[in-house]
Amino acid sequence: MIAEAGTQNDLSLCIFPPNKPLEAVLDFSKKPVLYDNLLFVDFNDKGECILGSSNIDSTFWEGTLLFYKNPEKLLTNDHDAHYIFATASDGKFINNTTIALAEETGVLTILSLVDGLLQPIKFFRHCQNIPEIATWKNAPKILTCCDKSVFVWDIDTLERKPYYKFDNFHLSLINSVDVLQNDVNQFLTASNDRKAVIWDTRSDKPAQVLYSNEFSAIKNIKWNQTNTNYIIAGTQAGDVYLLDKREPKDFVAVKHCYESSIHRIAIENNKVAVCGNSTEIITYDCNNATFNSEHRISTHNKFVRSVKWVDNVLYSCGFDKKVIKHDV
Amino acid sequence: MDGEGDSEKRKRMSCGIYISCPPQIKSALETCFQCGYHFVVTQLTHPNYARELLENPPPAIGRTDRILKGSEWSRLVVGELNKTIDVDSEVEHIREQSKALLLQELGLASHLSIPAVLLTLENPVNTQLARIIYDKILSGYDYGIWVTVPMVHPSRFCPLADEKHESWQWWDDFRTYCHYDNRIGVVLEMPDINHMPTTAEVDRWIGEPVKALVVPASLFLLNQYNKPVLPKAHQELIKRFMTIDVQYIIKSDTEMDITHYQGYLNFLGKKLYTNDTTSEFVQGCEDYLQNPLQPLTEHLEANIYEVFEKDQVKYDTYQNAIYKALETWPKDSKVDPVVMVVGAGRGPLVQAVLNVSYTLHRKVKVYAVEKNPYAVNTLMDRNRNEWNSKVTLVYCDMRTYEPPEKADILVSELLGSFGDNELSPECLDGAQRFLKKTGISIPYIYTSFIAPIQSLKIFTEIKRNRTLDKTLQSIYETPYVVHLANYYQIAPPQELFSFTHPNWSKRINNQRYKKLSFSCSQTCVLTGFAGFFDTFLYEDVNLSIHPETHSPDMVSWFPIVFPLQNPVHVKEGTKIEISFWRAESPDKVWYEWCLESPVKQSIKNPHGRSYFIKKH
Repeated sequence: MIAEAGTQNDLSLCIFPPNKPLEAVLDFSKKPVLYDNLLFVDFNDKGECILGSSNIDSTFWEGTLLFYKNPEKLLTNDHDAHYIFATASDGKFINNTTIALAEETGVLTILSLVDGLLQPIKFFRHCQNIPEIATWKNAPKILTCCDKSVFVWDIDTLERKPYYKFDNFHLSLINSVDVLQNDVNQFLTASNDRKAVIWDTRSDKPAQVLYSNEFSAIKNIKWNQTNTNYIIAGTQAGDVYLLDKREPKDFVAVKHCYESSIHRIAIENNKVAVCGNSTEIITYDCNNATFNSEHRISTHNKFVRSVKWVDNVLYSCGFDKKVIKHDV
Repeated sequence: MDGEGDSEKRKRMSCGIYISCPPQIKSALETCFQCGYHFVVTQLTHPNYARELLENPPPAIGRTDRILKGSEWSRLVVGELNKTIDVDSEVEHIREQSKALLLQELGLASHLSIPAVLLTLENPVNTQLARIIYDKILSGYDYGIWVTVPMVHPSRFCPLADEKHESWQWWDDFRTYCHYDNRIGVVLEMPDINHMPTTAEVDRWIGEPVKALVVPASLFLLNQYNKPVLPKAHQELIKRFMTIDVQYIIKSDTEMDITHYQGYLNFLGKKLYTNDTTSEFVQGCEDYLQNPLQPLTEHLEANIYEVFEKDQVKYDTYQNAIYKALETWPKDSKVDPVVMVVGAGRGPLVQAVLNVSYTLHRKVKVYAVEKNPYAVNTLMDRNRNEWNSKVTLVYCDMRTYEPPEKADILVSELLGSFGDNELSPECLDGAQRFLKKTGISIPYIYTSFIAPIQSLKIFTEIKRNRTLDKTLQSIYETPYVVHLANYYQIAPPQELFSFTHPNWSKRINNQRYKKLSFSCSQTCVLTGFAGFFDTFLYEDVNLSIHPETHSPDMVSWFPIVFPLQNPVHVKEGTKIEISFWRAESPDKVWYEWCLESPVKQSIKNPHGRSYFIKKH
């Protein structure tokens, strides 16, 4: 590799003696750094947005959460607030001023937007990294997953314990969670055990298998909030399945998206966007209980990590340090 | 921590902690050590760093190796492999990407020289995974492979499970593919209180190379001082695993100061430590292979005499037997009983006879017969300085000795771990020439027992200890004396061969044959047979190393193990059948054994080709 050397007078490049061992002083950054790897983007009802970037391919595994007052500022990275933390896999608005952040250290951090600053107000600890979180509309509850367990946390409580914890349902790592927005009792989980599970905490049997894939782990699951009978699950094999909760154990439609794993799915008004271990985003309409109008978007040049619909506009971010607004 | 000068007896509890994606690995390590932990388990590459490795792989892999010193990577970090890896997938691209990722992570682990990588078995089929791992460890990657499974598989109680799985079976399949390589060990996730394993399941795990127990912090309760403690059932479980050398990995999901968990485990190392004579004596000998003695042809060394003489239980019992035997001697008899100690060594049994003589106020004529010239030298010194020359010393092999008179009592300690395996029958048959027809032998009977065992530790130790002059066949046709720790006894021992003395049969035949059948109560791996013995010295005075009747605190004998060259998988409910021979020729005695069921194998050690006991 060719190093871009400084000027001959640049003393910061010099280390004496030249074979001196590394004495790394790795403190968290004082100023926010936008790393190449953008992992998630989310919006609140006011159109404000958050973006998560993490340094995951280098030595110091630091993450930066950036807050923007509107999508335009997001697209130009003109951030209005920030929080510097460990790397994070996911972040979501709980309400317009409260954000949940899933740190890879296993800490779920609750942040409040106060006077233009992002302040951590609560922490909930998990035993390892949290792959995904989901939040209900107008409810102080957060759904998380970690290892084989699924948790519901109440951010209004002083307790540091989960409101619910379900341990012995999935047999393998849970990769994804999603909620039915207007019902705090219902949610979804998807796991390496190849099962998509639908939950209702009011039931004697809170978990029911919605779908079992024969060959592959299920990496992501999303509830269609417009037509709540429908759910979409994406697999490590690169397929998306349209599931109908009224007909569990089977699928309604399937599409092969990539020769690689699905990472995230977004649904709004029956419009579906899918990203995976690929530079492409694929969108579908699923109005008629099937995947229609496939459209492939290739504006990213590295893996896309997050897709989000906001009022029929699609936003995405990825490992190419880009946030892109798509006209679909 | 075990501080210097801390004289309390305890088991050292090596304790690590799982940390997920620490921003700075160096400061995370420092924090963990300050909290008393000995190592950390963490990811080598970031779990969210998805990358295409088959075409145009990115050059960046992860943290720089310079962030820690080589000595820190190689001692303090266990690397967890990426959990998305599924090299056994039926889907080709998953399989290929997973393989590329696995190879990169294993290569990085090797580059960093970390002591072990930790992987989790997520599916019952792990053929490809095992193949890649086995290939790497055979081609020079020099780290341990820690294969993680739940101690009790959640499918056994999960309401969504399609079928029930056994973690042990997954582990067994994996390590079988890797031919039981001793670099591959199992890490067990401790279950919650509602899903504890059965005693038999724990017994079987104890027979495995368990490297570590994962202890989730969620298992802890808070005591009245708000400190974390484990429920009794978990303490008992840990106590079982303390018999083998396991480490502990805390997985914390609370805000509790992690120091407390390590402190508590350290406390358990003291609280649950069984401090008895046996454990003190045998500490450090666990699963260490010893070749059985050949006392007929090789003179014992002073150290060996010294070790054996430390066993007070054994000599007290002998003294008690001699007491009972002499007590029955008619008090008005004008003839003093003649007691001959054959194989007297450095004289502990001679001393026992003299003690009894004094206690009973009965004169006894004592002979000490010994063929080891260096032991005779000691006996002479003792006779002169301690015994007032009351003992007749005979420097001779008992089988050729021609005494001036016959003995009333013949006392010997010629038994090995298998009873007859140091040729007590042949020696005493020879020595009984100078025993009166009415005379007695102490001991008068001994019986060997065998039990099928699973011990991959012993199996791999045998291979590891092979010297260049031995073939693979010969080392597995040799029995070893072992203090068994890391083993599972598959079924209770059964009686094999008995010998009684004196034996006045016209034709003495010390050759034996027996076929035994054992029931296997749970699926396991048969790696060999453990041998034990018991003996009756006089009337009901006995010594035993049979597990069910073991003489308390007696440490002279460890079990003997007759190995199999290839471990045999045995299904629950099937029979294990073995034929066993004691054979002899004019110059040697040997054992042969042959597994008959569940698979029929060839006869091991035919004509004593690999192992025998020399008569001369």
